[in-house]
Amino acid sequence: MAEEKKYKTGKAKKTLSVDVLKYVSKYYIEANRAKKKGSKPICYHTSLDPIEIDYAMGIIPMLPENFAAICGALQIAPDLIEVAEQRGCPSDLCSYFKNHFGYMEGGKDLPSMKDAFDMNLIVLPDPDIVCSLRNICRLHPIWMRQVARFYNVPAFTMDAPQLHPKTSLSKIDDHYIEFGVSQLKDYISFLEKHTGRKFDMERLSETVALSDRLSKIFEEIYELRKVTPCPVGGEDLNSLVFFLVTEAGSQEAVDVAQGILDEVKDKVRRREGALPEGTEEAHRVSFVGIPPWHDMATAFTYMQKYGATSVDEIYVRAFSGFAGRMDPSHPLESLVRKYFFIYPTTTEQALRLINIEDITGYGIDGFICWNLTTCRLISTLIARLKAMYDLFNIPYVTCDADQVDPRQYNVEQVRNRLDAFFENLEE
Amino acid sequence: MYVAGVDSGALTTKAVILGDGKVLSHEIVLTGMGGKAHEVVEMALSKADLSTDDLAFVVATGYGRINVPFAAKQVTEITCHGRGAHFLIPTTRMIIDVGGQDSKVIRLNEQGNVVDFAMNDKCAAGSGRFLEVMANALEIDLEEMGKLSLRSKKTVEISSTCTVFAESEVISHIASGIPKEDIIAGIHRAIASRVAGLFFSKVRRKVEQDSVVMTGGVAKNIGMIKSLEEEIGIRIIVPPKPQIVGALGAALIAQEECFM
Amino acid sequence: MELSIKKPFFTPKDLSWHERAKWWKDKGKRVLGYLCSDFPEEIVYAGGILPIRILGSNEAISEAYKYSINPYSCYVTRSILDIALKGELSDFDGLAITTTCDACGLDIYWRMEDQVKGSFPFLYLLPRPSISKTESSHKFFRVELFRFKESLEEFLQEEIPKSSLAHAIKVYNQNRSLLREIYDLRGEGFISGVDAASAVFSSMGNPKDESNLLLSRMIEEAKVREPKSSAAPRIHLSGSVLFNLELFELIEDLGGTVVSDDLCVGSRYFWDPVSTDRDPLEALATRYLDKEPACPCMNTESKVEDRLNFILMMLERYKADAVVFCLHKYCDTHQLDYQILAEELEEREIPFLVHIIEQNIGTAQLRTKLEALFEIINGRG
Ligand code: SF4
Ligand code: SF4
Ligand code: SF4
Ligand code: SF4
Repeated sequence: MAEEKKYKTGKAKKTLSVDVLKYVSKYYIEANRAKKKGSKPICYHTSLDPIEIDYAMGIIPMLPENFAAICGALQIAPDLIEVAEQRGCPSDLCSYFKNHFGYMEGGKDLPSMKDAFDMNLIVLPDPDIVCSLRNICRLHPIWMRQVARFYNVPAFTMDAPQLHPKTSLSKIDDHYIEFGVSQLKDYISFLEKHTGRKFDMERLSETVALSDRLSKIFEEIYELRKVTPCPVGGEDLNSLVFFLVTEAGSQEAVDVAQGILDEVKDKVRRREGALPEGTEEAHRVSFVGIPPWHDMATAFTYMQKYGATSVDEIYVRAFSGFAGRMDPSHPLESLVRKYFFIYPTTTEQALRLINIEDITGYGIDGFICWNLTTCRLISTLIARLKAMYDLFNIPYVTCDADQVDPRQYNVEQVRNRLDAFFENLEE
Repeated sequence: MYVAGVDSGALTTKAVILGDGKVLSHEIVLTGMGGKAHEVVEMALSKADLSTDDLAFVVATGYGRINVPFAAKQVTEITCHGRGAHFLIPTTRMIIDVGGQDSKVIRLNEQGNVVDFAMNDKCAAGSGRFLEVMANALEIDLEEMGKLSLRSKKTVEISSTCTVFAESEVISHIASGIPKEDIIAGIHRAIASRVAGLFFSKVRRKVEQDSVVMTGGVAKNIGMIKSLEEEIGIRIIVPPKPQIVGALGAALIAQEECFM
Repeated sequence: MELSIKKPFFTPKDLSWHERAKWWKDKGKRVLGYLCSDFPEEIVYAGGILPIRILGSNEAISEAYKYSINPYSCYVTRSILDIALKGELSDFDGLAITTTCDACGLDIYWRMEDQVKGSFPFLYLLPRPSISKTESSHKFFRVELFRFKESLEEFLQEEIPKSSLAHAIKVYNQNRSLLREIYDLRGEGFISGVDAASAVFSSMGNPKDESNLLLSRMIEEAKVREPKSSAAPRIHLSGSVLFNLELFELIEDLGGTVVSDDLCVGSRYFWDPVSTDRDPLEALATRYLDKEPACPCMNTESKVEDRLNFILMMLERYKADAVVFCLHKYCDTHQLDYQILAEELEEREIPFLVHIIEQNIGTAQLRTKLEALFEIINGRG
């Protein structure tokens, strides 16, 4: 019986010339090569882990989350998720996790998978070690524990505790920084022990400097998006997350980002907007949440018919850190600042500043909240932000969706909501 | 000596009469249409030329088992399906039962005793109710679905897992002129994948040939069986009257009670 | 001695939140609510404040959705928010929240601070590290406990002396050992599963010294009773929070008996004592980070092996036949731990079943599952 796959393919139109998938494949190919030769160890991470340390020690960080996002974009996540659900994963569990769990538990060898992976050269090499810093969700470290069990490899867990609510991001108490630094030191010993590689603080200063450079370039890009018309939209920025999340600390990421920054500057000079030619920029919105990698067209291209574009995404900005610039002469402290105090470990006040500030800085008309029903963290953040927008009378719309699984998603319903939102804005 | 088993389900009530270890008669009546447990037992009895006085023991099972006052004992449908299936097919190790309200997977040991089971959560997806809703949306008879689906050349993907979303998806498929058989095949696949999830949650090791049995009314749906076989990758055996397996199991337990 | 508690063995259904706070407040004293079994109540008790556990309930949500709460969070979270947003905690002087899982602790803190302004004169978020096997995590938590004590002193406008803390620890340890004794007596048939559970429930809301008197009396009475020897299936309950005793009652109705657990309203609350041979705050930090059975959402490093060993130990200690997991929908961490625990139990051929609950325990289906489990245990399956 022939089967027809009917998952909606929704690639968004991009405005930047950079081919992200090319860099992604290159990264995966090199990782697989290293794995085969045994030249460099592979360490799995959850996102927003201090991978600068890995880069400093010649270890390749791989992120199953990033891999899941790619599977989402390639429309193959549902098949992997089905495998996970057949292995007993509850359907309301994180789709990123299920995607990877399904991949491990046999999904890897599904005929449909093999084609997709081989064609795009995206194959996740097995880990030698795993690590997770719990600074986002509680699922992260448990995920890595499951991976460690499956592959029988050593695991390391770190924890970023919640900041005391009265703390200001510019004046973080010493015992927080100390706790962070001591865990990073433990992480380094763990890596030395299990990979046999030597750690060198000077190398770390270099990768921290590169990482800081990368963050800075992204900050500049975000600054440039404050102009009207906005030179580049959310569809592009979201895909660039790859560099921030897996390549923070590498020279390549800095080079690519520099090229992008130049391109954006150029566009600003030419007053060229992200919207297609002939469409005038009528609305500027901020995008909240993890985007639906399987249907970026609905999330970003669809709004173009209202002359709207996404000029800000808190998801992307979270990857460059909230607590200020890094200082290569204090690499460990800098990493703690970058990775330990982001949403949700930061304070309410900081979150509010970061999000509500957007309104004035970016000239935002409203927020599009992309709610993930399978993610406790995002759904709680969005519920929380909605209450905040209500308080300040800021327009917003919530779309219930999933980041990779179209089965949990009703595209008509979502488009309807977007229609209603923009019609209201127009009034 | 005669005994009876009665399975009081949400949709149908079933009764089986045993005499000296042999099935003498059975009866199936829609629960909503006068299918009161005692009436169904009496109907089955009269088929075997017996009356209530002849019965030494009655065991009730199914959702309505607590409301069968004349039964001397209540036993869950899990144990009864296990007992019934093992009686009919001694090689049975795994039982799949897609019921109206919930689906179950039951694991037996060699002696036919239940060692483990799983039931789906309260969600309607993956249960017989899903089929009913879809048959309704397609305006066809529940019974027809199986045969119709065999004509399908191209299984349509029902991408939503939730019954409510899936229903609107099915309606939009109908509207866009997709042949019913392809939609039905898609519906079967959707349920099969949920049930397979339940199945694998209880089977970590390899499954032997001829050990998987499907019971319950949905087992008569040949399209459903086919989809399930594809999902779990092994042949499924369906006993001749899959709906009465629970009642049969209840009757078998009634018989044991008499010898105890 | 006349006890001042109106109703000694209340279950959550028996008394409203107002009633529970009021009798103590009438004495001119203060009441503080806390949300999680990992909260160092001793510090509060040492300050003369009555700590009361806010459990949530299985009543329908009536207010909270108006405040745009997350519908995709567990019912424990939603229900606690509803109780607070409805103003049922208006007699409480304070609320202390441990940073727990992704949907619960922090979100409740935010909303109390923002949406119910001034609801609690003393509102506190206690950052608790989610790892505990390193010295640095203990050091960190000690600082946070010290900070909590300081804030409380500021609120009370008086110091909490070390001696009061040491005394509080003593009283709490006594409560813990009494509860253990009750568990042991239950294991031998002197006390029913429901009664033992209600002893824990009431300990979470009564002043511990008075609670101890009641528990001692309960023990004395039980000891002279004829033990019930029964062949009933002996069940270990596993999971997080249960709102009331419904599940214990259902199991007893069906002919089984609960003999052990690793619930947040059971052994996770009281099992491990606080050591008394060092500085009280240090001892508290150690106990609350290291205690067994651990909660998966606050111990994200590999604590599942420890949890498994705890469950196996309990199964042996109380000769339990099977494990019943009762987990909340949308509780990711417990559900992930379950995957591994289930695998390990299956390997050891220990019967178990899992049931996912939301507002209610879902009696109809659960009944069938439990009966089938009992049939397996009794050899009927
Ligand atoms: S934050 Fe949400 S989406 Fe990301 S890994 Fe955690 S649960 Fe999944
Ligand atoms: S609405 Fe959908 S997800 Fe909810 S119970 Fe029904 S079928 Fe399941
Ligand atoms: S499950 Fe964990 S976080 Fe929740 S109450 Fe229990 S110990 Fe606290
Ligand atoms: S640990 Fe689980 S049950 Fe407890 S509050 Fe969090 S999600 Fe709810």
